[in-house]
Amino acid sequence: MVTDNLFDATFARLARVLDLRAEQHSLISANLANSNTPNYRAKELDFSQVLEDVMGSSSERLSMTNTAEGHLGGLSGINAQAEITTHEPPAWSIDGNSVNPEVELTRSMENNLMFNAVTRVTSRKLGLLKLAVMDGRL
Amino acid sequence: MELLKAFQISASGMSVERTRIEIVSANIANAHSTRSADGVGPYQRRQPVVEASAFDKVYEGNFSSIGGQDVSVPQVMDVVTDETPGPRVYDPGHPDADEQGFVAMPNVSVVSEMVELMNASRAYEANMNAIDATKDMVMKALEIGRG
Repeated sequence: MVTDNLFDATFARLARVLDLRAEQHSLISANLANSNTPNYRAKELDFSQVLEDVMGSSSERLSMTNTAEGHLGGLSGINAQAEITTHEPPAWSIDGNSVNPEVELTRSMENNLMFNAVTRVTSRKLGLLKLAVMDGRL
Repeated sequence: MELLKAFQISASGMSVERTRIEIVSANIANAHSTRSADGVGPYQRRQPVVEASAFDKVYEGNFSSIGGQDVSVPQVMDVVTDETPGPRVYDPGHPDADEQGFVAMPNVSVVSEMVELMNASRAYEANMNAIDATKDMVMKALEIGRG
């Protein structure tokens, strides 16, 4: 999908972040669905780590090493899998369930806002492409 | 994103207030239980122990201060039993009465539990309002540069 000029690495990263946000959303839904299941442990996607991998800390990390001519350049780390953090229930919990509905709902709101922010950035980038394709006429 | 931390702080507050309401409800419901689960004595009221924990101890990430001041989020650390003896009521016909005919009642004062309930429920709403305000701010921030 990543070609050199038209759709650059930023598009691939934006797409991956949207994927991760969707994954986080399913985890939150699963947590809320299991808020009354005894011994269920709340799960959460660890964003800070995976975003570092997806973004790459330097340009060297962004490009795949081409060992032969004709290899397509790819983005290393773009498909980095996110670690899933499991939350332990508090010591006073009776049923061993560690879902905290308020925390899950606010996390869902946060996830939603971030998803919106990323889609907005994506459509603005597409808007720039469109501007170029339309020869500068809107 | 600093604004999103505000969500987590308010969520902890709501969670603590909900736990308080759960405990108060259990106390009110058991205001007349003359036998506890282990069969020894009447029900004794429960109380949450709330600690202002460091933010990064409760949530992931390195965020512990704003402008050099520590940021704390509330967290229920433990639920403890109030050991003070409750009133003794003279009722010789009661199956839990002692030799003198007195029944040990739970140390639950329904009036103070109701005050606690109102207090917790208002605090829950206050946190909800803080979340709404934060959400409005983030939504406004998303509007920057739009059209």
